[in-house]
Amino acid sequence: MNTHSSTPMLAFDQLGKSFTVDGDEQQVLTDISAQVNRREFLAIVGASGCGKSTLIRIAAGLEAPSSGQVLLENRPVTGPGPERGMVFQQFSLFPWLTVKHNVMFGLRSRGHSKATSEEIALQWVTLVGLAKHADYLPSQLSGGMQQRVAIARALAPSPKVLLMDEPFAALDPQTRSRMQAYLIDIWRNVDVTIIFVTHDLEEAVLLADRVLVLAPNPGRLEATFSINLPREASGRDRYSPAFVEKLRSLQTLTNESAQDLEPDLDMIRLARVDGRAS
Amino acid sequence: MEIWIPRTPLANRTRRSLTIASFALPLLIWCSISYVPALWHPYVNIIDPGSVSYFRTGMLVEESQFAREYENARAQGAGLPTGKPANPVYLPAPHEVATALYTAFTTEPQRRNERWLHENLWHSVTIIFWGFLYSCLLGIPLGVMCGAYSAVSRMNEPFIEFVRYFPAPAFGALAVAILGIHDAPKVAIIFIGTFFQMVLVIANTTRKLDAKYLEAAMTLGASKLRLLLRVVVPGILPDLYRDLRILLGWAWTYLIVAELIGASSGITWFITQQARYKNFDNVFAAIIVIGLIGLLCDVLLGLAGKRLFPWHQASKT
Repeated sequence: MNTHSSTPMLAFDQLGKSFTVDGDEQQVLTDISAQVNRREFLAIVGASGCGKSTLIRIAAGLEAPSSGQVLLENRPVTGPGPERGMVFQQFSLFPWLTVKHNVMFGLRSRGHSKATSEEIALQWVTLVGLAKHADYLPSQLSGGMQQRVAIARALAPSPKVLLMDEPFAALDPQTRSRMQAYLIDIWRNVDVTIIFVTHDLEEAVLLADRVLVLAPNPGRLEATFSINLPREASGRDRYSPAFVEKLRSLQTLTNESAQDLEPDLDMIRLARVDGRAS
Repeated sequence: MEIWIPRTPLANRTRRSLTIASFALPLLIWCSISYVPALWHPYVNIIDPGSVSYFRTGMLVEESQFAREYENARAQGAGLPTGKPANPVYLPAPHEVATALYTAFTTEPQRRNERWLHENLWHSVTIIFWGFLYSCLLGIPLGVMCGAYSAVSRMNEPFIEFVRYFPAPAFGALAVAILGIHDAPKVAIIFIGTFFQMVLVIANTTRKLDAKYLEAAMTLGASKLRLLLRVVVPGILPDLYRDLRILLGWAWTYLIVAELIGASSGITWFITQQARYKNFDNVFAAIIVIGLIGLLCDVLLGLAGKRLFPWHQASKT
């Protein structure tokens, strides 16, 4: 895919992950190889249980792979680091720090002085539209505002890669679509590569340049799907025929990959009928 | 009714009246038993012994015994004893306790080497203060370390789990032998009574810190020291504060042991002594004083907590 000789920003290299549950080894991810280029927006989709969260947590260094490795600009990832910022699904701002101090946390961790950190933090708080709320505590903000602060906090220390694990899943639909527009806007203005996990296919088509489709049991890479749709000033138009067409083919692709689950569903139905009969 | 749906909040008015009722109700029961002669009153307080040779004015005799002597006296046509229903000596009436509460603070001690009640009280407070302070100085850091690092936990907690079942009073004689008879062994008893529990409770509180904060901090490049000092410590602070409030109550329960060993002193010694003289009004007065001090401390610490940890949901109630 890479015709240029430029190295990918981040690469999954034959990645595998297994957990041992009650003595049983369970393969969660198997043989995942993929790359993401600098400034690319990559989405990862898949049915629940396909290991997409595990994959992004391995990229963050929060979990270690059982086999294979993650490469950041050709250097193996061995643990969490500030060059890979992360936004979680659960609101994870530090509740004891104000908005400003939350954003300052990563900067202070990287050794910036208090004054510099504060200056940069305030720029970021302003960029996500919360300048007036700089001295608020997270508990005083709505969910959407909290996730904006979380994005600012992750981006303030200038990471090369921003990892987002279903960051808008806990938000209401209106807030979510506003946040999606926000994110595209920020991504355009910042030199950052984004890996975005979601179970919402429309969100993936709306945001990403490329989509990795994972299939479950065990989690594996089913397909890579390029979006190739133009972005207007306000992002993509989700009602345009081209968009709908893309979404439909992505849906077909994921449905096929989820077919492994069908027998299980039958089993459940049978069990129910039996239960009622007895 | 809605109040029986778990966690339904109360209206302010209801809250206030229930708070008052929680004190008023026991007081009401106490008053009824004390002042309504029909309730309980299993004894008779002799007013006039009459012809009964062994009755004395102010003596408490059982109701049945009084009735028997009364019948005997009437049969012999001798002087009839009189008396009024009374409760046992260990249940003084509220007004007697109130009087005792007042006189205990205003009466000079009977013997020269005895202390005033307020001096005893102050002495007890200093014992608690030092014992609990030493406990905190060692227990909080160790507890947080145990909660944060599995290795420290494995290294300490099994042994502490074992030691905490040692009865603190058992260390009394040992503490006196090592530390002398004055305040040091008393402080040591408070320390032994609270330290081991404190380590375990704080370790558990620390373990309950949501891992998402640590993970977020790690992806922001926080160093190991920063994780401990800027995430774990502030993250658990409100809960740690709450733990300390509860543990401070435990310190008071060990006070009675502490004050019985070595040179006797303090409020609980006062209680023991007064109980020996059967001055139960004084006993109740002193117990109530301890209760009030504990309650006052807790209310003040609670208010301080709200100011200290404005972000904490549980301290907002």
